[in-house]
Amino acid sequence: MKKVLIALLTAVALSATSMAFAADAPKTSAKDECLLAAKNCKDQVDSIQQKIKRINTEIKKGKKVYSAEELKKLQQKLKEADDILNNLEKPGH
Amino acid sequence: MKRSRVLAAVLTLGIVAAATSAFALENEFHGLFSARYINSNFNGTNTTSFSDGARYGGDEHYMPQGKPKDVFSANFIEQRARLQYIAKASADLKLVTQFELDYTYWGNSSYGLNAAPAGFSAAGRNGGGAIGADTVNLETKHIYLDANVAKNVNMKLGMQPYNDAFKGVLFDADMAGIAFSSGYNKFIPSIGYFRFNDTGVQQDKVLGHLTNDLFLLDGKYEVSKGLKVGAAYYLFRNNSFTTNSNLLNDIAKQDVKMSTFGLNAEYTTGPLTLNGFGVFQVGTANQRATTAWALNSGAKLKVGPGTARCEFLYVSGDNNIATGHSNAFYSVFNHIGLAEHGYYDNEMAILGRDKNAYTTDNSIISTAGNDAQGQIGGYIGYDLPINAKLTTAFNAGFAAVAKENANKPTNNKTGMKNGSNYLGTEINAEATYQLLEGLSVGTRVAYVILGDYYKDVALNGTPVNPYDAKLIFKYVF
Repeated sequence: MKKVLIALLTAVALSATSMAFAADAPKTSAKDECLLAAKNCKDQVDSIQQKIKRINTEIKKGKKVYSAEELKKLQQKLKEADDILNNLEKPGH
Repeated sequence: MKRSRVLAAVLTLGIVAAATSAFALENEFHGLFSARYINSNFNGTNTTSFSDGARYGGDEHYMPQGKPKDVFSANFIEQRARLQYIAKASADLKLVTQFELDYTYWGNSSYGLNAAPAGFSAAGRNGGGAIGADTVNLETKHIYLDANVAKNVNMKLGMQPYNDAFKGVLFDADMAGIAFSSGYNKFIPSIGYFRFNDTGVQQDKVLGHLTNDLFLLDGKYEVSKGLKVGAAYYLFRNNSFTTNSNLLNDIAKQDVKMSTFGLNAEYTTGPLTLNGFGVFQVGTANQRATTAWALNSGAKLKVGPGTARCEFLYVSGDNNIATGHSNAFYSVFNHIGLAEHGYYDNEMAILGRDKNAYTTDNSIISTAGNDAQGQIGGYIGYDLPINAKLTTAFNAGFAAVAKENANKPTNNKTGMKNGSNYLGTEINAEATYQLLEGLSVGTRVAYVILGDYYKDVALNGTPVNPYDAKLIFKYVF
């Protein structure tokens, strides 16, 4: 019983670690789950300019990697990022 | 023994689960820092401060009348930082916060509210720029929840940035409220309610009874890839102690019921983009029946190495500021004489609101209604990128008031109002260089040749033509 439990816990712990490593080494044909669904974002600290650049890179991958629904979501993320930048730079009192 | 093993396993699982859920929360930090040197005979002088302008960097409106025609040049440095923190629980739920720390000008005050001697502005908001610093000057700009509460339905709840669909001529500010928007293929409808002010404590001691509110309906539709159209309805109901939309320095109990209807469109074909809007208002403003309107058109054309731009804006005004039917345009103001709207597409720095202005934010036409005089303006410009790091822009603007009324300054020599409604011609140029990723240094120089609207309105003649030069360091992350 104890061995089974330890094995189970080890498996869970390892899967979490490997997910984090996966995020560190994105592949050109892979989906960016952090952008899409706020998953695997552990080591991602982007400036707003980097974020905009990253979303644009993902959008350029197009339908080879993303579904139409996912591309729409990325477009929405791009608009949100643009809004953040505009709000930071917004003039006035 | 067996019981303790089970307990240990449950605890371990709990720790793992907690760690996993902690990973799910994404913390996002962004911000801005900017310091700018300003040399001007406009900003930071008494022609743009009719009350305690030294505290806030000006009172937004150019008022040279009754003051010496020659103005000493002001030299000062303004500083701003903005910090944004977003707590994202999932792709569908996040809390957005943003804070601001301003020094209107270096050297203004320090050591808190009670430590400001005569001649210095008090500390607090925008203060703390003098030696010693140590001042509580944190401003909270945004605190709102952004949630996709159902498929295709987004809700924003709390203090949030929100702007109209008409280039900011009605409202563009941080405001508390709730707004829903949806996305059905090419149609994006929005509905929202905002409470601008509740001055019940000053009025009848009942909160929510006499307030300044906005209800809005907005729709955008993508007819084709090149053509987008939109329509909006805004209901303004203001029953609070706030600024009179027709006179900036009149802060009193308002009674406004104003329905605003508007249409907008944007058409792109090849290198050309055309856009514009029409806004019509009907209602009452302080017991005066009002119909008012604004018309705009804009164009951008990629030509040569850069992009040429032009803008036109007409806003109706009225000859009479006190009685009878009014054509004075209604826009949103706060309770301290400042506009909570702004038209920036004309790229002016003195004639209209400056896109680079922070707390020092003054202009000749500082509000859409322009003290019930309205406005007519034509603007041209050219954006010229030199290379990947250096961009430049050149602009010219020509503006007049639409109607003469009692708010027009008086000619000191004749004792009458000048016949001309022409405010002036502005030319400005800017250049921005990217020093590092995120950090830029830029300069913008503007000069206005005043029109005969201002002829001999100063104490001893016609006011000197205003200029403004800024050197701006800006870091955004």
